[in-house]
Parts: sequence; structure tokens; C-alpha cells
Amino acid sequence: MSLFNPLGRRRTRDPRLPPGQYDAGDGFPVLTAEVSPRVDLKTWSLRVDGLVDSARTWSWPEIKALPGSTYDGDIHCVTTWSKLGTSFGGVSVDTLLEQTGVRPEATHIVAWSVTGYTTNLPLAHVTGGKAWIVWEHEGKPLPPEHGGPVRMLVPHLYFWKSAKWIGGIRLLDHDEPGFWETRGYHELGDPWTEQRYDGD
Amino acid sequence: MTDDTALPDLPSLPSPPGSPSLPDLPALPTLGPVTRRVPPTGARREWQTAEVVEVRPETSQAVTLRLRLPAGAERHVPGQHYVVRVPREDGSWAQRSYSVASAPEPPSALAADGRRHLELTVERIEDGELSPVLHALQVGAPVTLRGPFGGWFVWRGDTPVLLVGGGSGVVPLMSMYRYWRDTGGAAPLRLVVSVRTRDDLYYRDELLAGDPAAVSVVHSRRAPDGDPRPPGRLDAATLRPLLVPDATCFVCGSTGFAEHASRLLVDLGVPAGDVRVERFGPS
Repeated sequence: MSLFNPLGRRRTRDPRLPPGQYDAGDGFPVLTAEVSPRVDLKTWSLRVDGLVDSARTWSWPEIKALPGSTYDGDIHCVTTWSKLGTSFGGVSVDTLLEQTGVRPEATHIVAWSVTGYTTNLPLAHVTGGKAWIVWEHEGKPLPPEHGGPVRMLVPHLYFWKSAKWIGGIRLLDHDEPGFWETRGYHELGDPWTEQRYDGD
Repeated sequence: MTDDTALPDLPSLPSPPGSPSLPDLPALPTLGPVTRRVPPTGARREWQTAEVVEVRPETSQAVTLRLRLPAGAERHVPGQHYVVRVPREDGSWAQRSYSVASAPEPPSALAADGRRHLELTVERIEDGELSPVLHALQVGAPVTLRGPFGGWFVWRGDTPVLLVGGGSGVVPLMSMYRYWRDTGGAAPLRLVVSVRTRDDLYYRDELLAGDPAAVSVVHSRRAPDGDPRPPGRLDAATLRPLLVPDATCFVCGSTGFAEHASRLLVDLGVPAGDVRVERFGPS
């Protein structure tokens, strides 16, 4: 079976592509399980609570006023598309946690969306410059179907970990599997070892 | 693994311990209880080789492949998908998800050797990696796949449902519809399929032969002669009389269709939490 495309499909695989992924090019497919909500930034806020020294909530003007941070790189969806060389703008999760403080017993987080979507992550996977709260994509406001106006970004893991329409982050002393993680998908979701489904 | 006679008997997971989180904090929001952990054992689903036993064109752009699964294959739940892979020239694999179109077979329908069959309907994406290869397959060809997967966009046949599909998005809904029809249709069900023209309708003969109280076809570009509804995008006036009380709504189609149809449902008063969405297309 030959898949060589004489019109220019690469014969040498882009080293930025994890196994089993393909380059979506300029495309940015949409994957969600629920109705895209209409989020009003006048009333939206981001809450960080749980095992922190002081829980707090940021309004839209407050979060915009924090020191900004951008991500330039690749993202990978479990459905096998990757988007290479893209960019997002927002604030680092580190910045938020600096303001709340982190209790020593905290080991995991649950990120939750205003829709009720949840996803779990080890704390070490969202600290040290690995995770963001973002509202810009390639210099433009993040559209609703891509999680706008504000979503989480954890680009080193499959994209279901990057909760759309983010409402908050809760720090826990245990792992609490989220929406997809209790419905057949992998606990962590590392694209480089193809942790797509339970048991992978 | 339970090989059961009726889907509602498939092992359900009890709801997780209600988001224990931390005792003095409000519970986290949720989209609803877990209906099924997939796979129930937590074991990895390995790649398997199935065999094409029938190839059936659905439209000029879509074919249905009927596959004979290897021995011991698990029964799927309507709405679930399989992942299919084919080798690339550079030695890597290309893989995509395809929803199962057929109803899960009851044990009484299995072949004498106990082997299961299922059907995948594949839309041809012109510059796609998988679909041109799958469209070229003939009877007897091997297909590498793993599954079934999916624990959200699934229906076990025991609750009222409204199924809304756009174009190729009818595929997982067809598994639900067929299961419902073949098991006597106890729960209220309505299926609404939106296509550009009659020629774009998958499973045409089967759907048009269905009970008109259960199956509606909406044409967005060109309606057949005699269709009382002029061609046009699915709209609230069309959808309102088709709403099913207390139904879970399953919406499947392109991103544009899924956004539009799910928003119509919410604007018609369906709680957003009762709408499950799956997006199809070249992803």
C-alpha cells in the first residue's frame, strides 16, 4: 500500500510530529463534547483554589493586567492532528500560583470549564513554564469554538488536557480523573508515548 | 468482559465518588455521571486485523466497509468508534477514528464461528491519508484497527433520545437508530438528518423506509420533488416539532453543523447539559 503523494506530501517525517500524528497545516480542527457556551467576559472570572495558601479569583481586567506570557510551538490532539509552529498569548499558570501560593501537600490539579468539563493533571505538569491561561491565538482573540474567550493551554500533552472555557483550577492532594479520563482516555496523555486511551 | 444479550445490561460504572475534592470546598462542576468506563477492565486495546467482507457504496463520496472482526472481539455500544491505521512510506502509521454504523450484534445474530461483524462508513477526503486507501479496499482485504472506544457519545437504548446528524455525521447515530429499531424501539427516539441533497444521504433506502414519525430528512441545498419543506439550513421551525421530551440530544456533523444545531437546541430550551456533541470531518 503506497501513500506517497506526488503533489508534495513529505517523505521524511517532520521530527516535531509525535508518533501517529499528522500535520494539520493551517487547519485547526475543533473537538468538544458539549455545546460551546457563550462566555461573557464582563461576568467571567478565573478561580484558583484548593490546596493553596490563599484562594483567589481574577476578573477579566485583573487577569489581563498580569505579566503576559506566550507559547510558540506545537499542539497535538488525540484524534491525530498536530498543529505545528503556532502561538498563544495569555498568562503563565506559574504567575497565578505565585499569587496564591501552593501548599506543600498539593500534588495534582483539576482544571474545570464553565460547561462542567473537567480534566486532571499532575501539578508538576502545569508548573515550571509548562501551562498557560490563554486568550490569544496567533495574535487574535481566541474564538469560542476553540475555547475562547479564555482557555487553558498545556501543549506538551494531548489537547483534551487544555480545558476550553476555563473557569478555574483546583489544587488537590490526590488525583481525580476528569471528564475524558473517566470515559476511556488516558490519565496523562503524553503524545510522545501515544498515551491516547486507557491502558496505552 | 461481559458479552451480554442486551446493551442495558452492559456493566455500568457507578458514578465516581462525587468529586470529593476537598471537604470544605464547593463541588466542582460536572457534565454528568460516568456511564461507562471503556474498556471496563482498563486494559489496553491492542491493534487487531479484521477482514473486509463487503463493500457498499453509500453516496458518490462514501462507502461502507463490512468487517469481520477477529475472534474474541468486544461488542460495541452504539456511538462508539474504532481507530483504523495504515502504513506510511516513511515507516510510520497514519491513523483516524471511524464511528461504527452498524448496530451491535446480539449473540443470537453472530455467525456460527462466533465472529462479530461491524460496519464503518468512510467519507472520501480528497487529500486525506486514510480514506482514499480505505476506499480502494476490496473484499478479502485486511484492515488494522483497535477499539471500540468512546464513553460519552454513546447510547445504551434505555433513555429518550433526539439524534441530529449533518451529512457524514449520521454514522454514529445510525448505529443508535439501528439498535433501537432492531430491539423493538422501546425508548422514544427521533432521528433528524440534514443533507445538502437527496444524493448525499447515507443509508438512503433504509432511512426512507423508516417510520416517518421517527426519521426526518432535511435538505439544505436542493429538496426532492414533492418535499413540503423548501431547501434550507436546519432551523428552529423545523426542529421544534421534533423535540423529544426529556431526551438526551446527540449532535454529530461538521464543526459548523454541530455548532449551529447544538445552539438551535439550546435556544429552543433544551438544557445545554442534555446535549452531547461529536464533530466530524477532516480532522
